[in-house]
Amino acid sequence: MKLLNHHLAVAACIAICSVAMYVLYFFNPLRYAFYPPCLFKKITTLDCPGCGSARALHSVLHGNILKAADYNLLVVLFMPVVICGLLYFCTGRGERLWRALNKPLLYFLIICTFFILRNINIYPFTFLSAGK
Amino acid sequence: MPKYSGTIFINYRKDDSNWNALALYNELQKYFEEERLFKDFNAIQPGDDFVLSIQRALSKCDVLLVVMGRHWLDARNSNNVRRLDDPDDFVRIEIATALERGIQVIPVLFDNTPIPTPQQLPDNLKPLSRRQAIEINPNGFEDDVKRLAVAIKKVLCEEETIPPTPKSFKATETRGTNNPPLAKPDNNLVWAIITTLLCCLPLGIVSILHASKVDSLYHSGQYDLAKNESAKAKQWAIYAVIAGVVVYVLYFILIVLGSTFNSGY
Repeated sequence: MKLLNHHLAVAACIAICSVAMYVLYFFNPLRYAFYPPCLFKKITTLDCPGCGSARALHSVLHGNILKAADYNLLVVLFMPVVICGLLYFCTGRGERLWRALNKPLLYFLIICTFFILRNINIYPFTFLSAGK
Repeated sequence: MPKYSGTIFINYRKDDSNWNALALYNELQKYFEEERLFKDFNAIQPGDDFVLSIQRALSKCDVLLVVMGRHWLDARNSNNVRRLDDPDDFVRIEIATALERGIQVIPVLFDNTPIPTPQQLPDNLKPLSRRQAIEINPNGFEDDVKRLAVAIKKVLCEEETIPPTPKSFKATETRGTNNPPLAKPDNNLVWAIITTLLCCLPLGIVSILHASKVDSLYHSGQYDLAKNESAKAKQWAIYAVIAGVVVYVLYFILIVLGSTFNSGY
């Protein structure tokens, strides 16, 4: 039963990733309005750590890493980590690598720092903001 | 795994505290089941590497009581070497292993023996002199052991009060014993990161915080609490997804209704 659950979860994970990649590749978030807005941003007008991630993923899928980093640096930074984590979850491979990358406290600090810095409207930090 | 199943080891020197240890062992049975009290390393078989055997036995123990009598410090072996200075001294290896593994070590002082100063101890036992000791006197024997039992129960039941385990202790090292260690609960970090970065509300941050507690709790031996945090990390990742979906559905309805929302994501 547990194994079956895991297989279902893996299948769901692969399906969701494929659909998300397809949508993000073919529909530019700047042009299509069906992407969800960030509620946090709507309410506070501040950038949350995830703001700009849809545009960043779209840029990454089109090979434009620098532009992606401009939209959301964290998405680019965490992409290898997330890929390793998902690969380990789906295939059970790369356990060592995933263990080495599994540093929740460090990531928490990075995300919090990023959250604060990207909302400072002064030159070097403006690079971190999500843009419009 | 029942919560209060910790085991207690009584470490003593035969030519120093044979009777003390026996009395303590008997008296402690008032407070703890006999299966949880160990006085001698009967786990060691002839031909075993005794360092490994001690490590194995100690991996199942949660509290080490170091019984110190009048001759604990200066007992000498047949070569007239102080036993404590002998690297193969069982008493020394047991205590050193326990200290290294972050097991709670309580010195139990008999016969008005003072707690040794660091200068009197070999290097790997020096931390022992800083441990809070409990004195046992013949006059108040039962009361003294009761105080000790309360202290032990505190260690075993309220695990939050245990000082953090040194990094050298790794639960995986004990693999291959009769009781294989419980595997580390998944800290669900991938989902925490994904939901933090991709959901409409940054609830995933809470999930990451819970994920970070899983490892530290697990490495200090608090398996149940670690499992709890693992479940919470998962729970918050799910909340983040649900919140994201709810926001999206509401947003979609607003679009359909012809609202003037702009794409802000």
